[in-house]
Amino acid sequence: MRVRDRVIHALEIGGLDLFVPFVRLATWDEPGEQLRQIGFALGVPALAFVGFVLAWAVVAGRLETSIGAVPGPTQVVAAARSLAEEHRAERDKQAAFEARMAEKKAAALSAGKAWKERRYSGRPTYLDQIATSLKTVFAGFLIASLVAIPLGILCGTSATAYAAMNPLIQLFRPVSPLAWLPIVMIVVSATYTSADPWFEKSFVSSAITVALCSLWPTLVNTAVGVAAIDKDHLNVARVLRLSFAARVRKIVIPAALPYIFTGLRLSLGVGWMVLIAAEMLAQNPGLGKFVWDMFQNGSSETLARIAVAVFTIGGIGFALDRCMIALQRMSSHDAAIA
Amino acid sequence: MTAHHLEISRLGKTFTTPRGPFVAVEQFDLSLRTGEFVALIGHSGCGKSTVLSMVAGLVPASAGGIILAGKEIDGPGPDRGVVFQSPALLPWLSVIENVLLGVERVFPHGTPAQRRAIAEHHLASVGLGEMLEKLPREISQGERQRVGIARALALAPKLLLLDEPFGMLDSLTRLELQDMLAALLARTGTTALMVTHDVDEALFLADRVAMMTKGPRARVGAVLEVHMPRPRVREAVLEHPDYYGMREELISFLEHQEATPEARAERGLAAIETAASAPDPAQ
Amino acid sequence: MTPQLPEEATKAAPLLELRGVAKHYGSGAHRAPVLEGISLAIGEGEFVAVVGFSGTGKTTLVNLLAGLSTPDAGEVLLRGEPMREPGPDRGVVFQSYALLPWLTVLENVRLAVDAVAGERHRGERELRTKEIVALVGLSHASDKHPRELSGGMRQRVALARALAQDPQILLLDEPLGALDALTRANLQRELAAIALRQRKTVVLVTNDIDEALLLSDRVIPLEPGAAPGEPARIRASFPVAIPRPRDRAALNHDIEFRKLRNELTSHLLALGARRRAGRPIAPPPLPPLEPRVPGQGLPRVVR
Repeated sequence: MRVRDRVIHALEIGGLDLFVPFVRLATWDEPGEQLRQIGFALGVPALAFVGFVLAWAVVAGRLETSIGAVPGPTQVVAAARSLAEEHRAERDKQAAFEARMAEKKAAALSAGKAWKERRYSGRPTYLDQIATSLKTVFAGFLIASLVAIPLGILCGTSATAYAAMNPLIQLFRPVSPLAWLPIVMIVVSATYTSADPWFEKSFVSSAITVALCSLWPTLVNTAVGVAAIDKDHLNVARVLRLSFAARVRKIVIPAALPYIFTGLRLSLGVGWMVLIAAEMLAQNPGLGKFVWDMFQNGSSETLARIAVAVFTIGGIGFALDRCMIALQRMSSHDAAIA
Repeated sequence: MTAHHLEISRLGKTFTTPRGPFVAVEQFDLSLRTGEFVALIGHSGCGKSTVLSMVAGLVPASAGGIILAGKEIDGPGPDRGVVFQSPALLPWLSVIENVLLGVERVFPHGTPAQRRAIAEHHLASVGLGEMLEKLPREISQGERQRVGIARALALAPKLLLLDEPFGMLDSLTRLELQDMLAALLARTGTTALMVTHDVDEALFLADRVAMMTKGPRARVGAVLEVHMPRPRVREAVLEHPDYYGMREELISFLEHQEATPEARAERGLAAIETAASAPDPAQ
Repeated sequence: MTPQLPEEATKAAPLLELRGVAKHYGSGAHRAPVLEGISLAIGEGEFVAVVGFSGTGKTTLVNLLAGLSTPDAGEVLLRGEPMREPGPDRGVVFQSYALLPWLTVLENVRLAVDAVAGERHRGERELRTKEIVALVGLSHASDKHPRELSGGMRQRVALARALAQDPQILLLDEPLGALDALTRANLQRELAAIALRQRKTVVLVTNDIDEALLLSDRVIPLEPGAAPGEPARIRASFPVAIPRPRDRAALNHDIEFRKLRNELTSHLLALGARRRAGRPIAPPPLPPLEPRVPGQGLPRVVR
């Protein structure tokens, strides 16, 4: 395949179809058509977005609340900037503190005195909170996947297992994270006593809640995918007398992979949504807590900052989804683009 | 000379493609007498279905004209019943309701009882008299195709057009439906033009077999008269002394479509001269 | 030639045998018998074609012969012993090909080679895989996935995989049904050559009479039940005494072939007719109405 075709194929697999017309344009392949496609794919959404921003600006100025006016686009951008500033300032302070500590430590050690390590105890910044949210959601997602995929394979291969599990699945699937969280927090408090700062109780509670809410799509989709395997493919395994392990490895999992990835994608989407609520209640220092703090704060900047959080949450959710789409397409073996 | 029931003269079709105009069919000539069954054979992709679609009025002709019973064809109409390869029955309607759709359009002046009688008549003629209320998903592919045939004949068309009607069926069901179609058309006397790539099917059903050259610019390369007596009975046809000879002629025509264009043109001209000089039995 | 009973055809001990086999689906009120009283003996090296209408249980028959399903009555015997499970000595080419879409041509065939010769040296196995792929003429496409192949090529991969098991028996379930005439003719020729050269015992299920007569030593019609809901049976067998391999064009001139073809066609059509007989409904008379021609107003109504 020519280089261009290979690039286009990679873009399509990676879910970046948007850039394909640009590549085609660069090689002067039907330029009129490419410009039209770019206009359509970029121009129309851009216009819509501009329209949305204008409408927002108009509406914002007119609505007054108890804590100030509803922020317009400019205020939100300003709030985002100030959050970035605070992050930088905080990092600088931290660096300065650590430099001072290092000096003092060197001085103390050379003077033969004992030295007690002191950690910087500043507040987590906005970017730190984003990182925490991502860590938490991936932890929950990982737990969910490790539980859901084997269970899904079991349900798909054994009618008995499915009959046993199905009522439970249908019962627990619709439960909101807000209902799970108190139970999880109580159980975690009772059983989890490690003081390791990496895994604080709020983190564990949030992650487990995310897992509980998001494992259902993966479980159901895996079960469906395994059950939907072409009988003839299984017959091939029978004729060749493949062992159980070989059958699962060579036939069941590859055949069900597209379904599994669909489930994973849905699960990640659900998990990200659930995460914000979980963090809010569990006080995990992520975006959820950020929103809650802003709400409690009630300062003039609150609404603007919450708006920044809204866009951040949406943006990250979108990016996560695109990553999953790319993985899904890469795993799909019948050229069916998700 | 009596006017033909269907006259196709100098028919042509050119498609515009991004790569330029594509002349699929050119100078296609064929005439059918009333009650005649003509089979049109050729390789896949040679344009046989395009010709049929033009006669049906579903595709406009780029050149030439088609005259049916003295009137020029201008768009589709119920006077030409079409049977497609896949019947495409409406899945939420029963068998008889599917047929009634067309009957209602063509016989709006009749009473509902009369229209139902028409639909029942044609469905019974194709052997589905006991399946009137069944849904398409409840019957087999062969039975669905029978409904397609009944649906087309229920319009009392002047011309029946069949586009590889049995192509999607297994060989044995195909034989069964060929028998049914032969008997049915013998009774109704409807003029028919059928596209097929099955040589045995063409010989069994047709009075004449028109052989189309390979596209592009496809046309009638040669016409074979099938002199076997009617009504056609399968055993008698297979035992007929000329059967395998005619079969070989058709097969070798198809195979030689792969030869050089010059040889093809030569053969085509020679065959047309042969066909043109054959005496017209209608006189 | 008069049709013979299937058992008479083989004098030596049959390799594969069905005795009084019956199979049904469902249970109780929804029980649908598919096959009944099926007796068939296939000798080693024989090429048998089973012809029948669609939906009469041909695939069920193949599954029984392969050991993929067990009969509800009667026995399936392999070399005189009851057959218990499927195995690599019976290669199956499924109607849907059943190629694993996430594997390339080479990998699909390798799956079978590894399953059968797993203990051999890897180099040996690789060599054998490549040999088999070359045998079916797909060396140039060995790194392609099934979705990149045409129907004929996929069929060859399915055949290669079945051959890679080094089976003694080949069971083919309407393998060439979905292909165009030209590809089908080519693959028929190749199948005949491979079967003869490797001395395989073959059971080919097909609905194409010409294919059956071209390839097999015996044609066995699977007779549908006399009424819908009745099981299919085997009652007759048509030996084809023309030496293999057969040339399609030459057959056209062979008197024996023509006679056999006519006989077989008539026999099968009679079976089909019998299935529909007993339900002829005389068409109700057509009311005397003229069709309305668009653009010409309504015809006069004749009462």
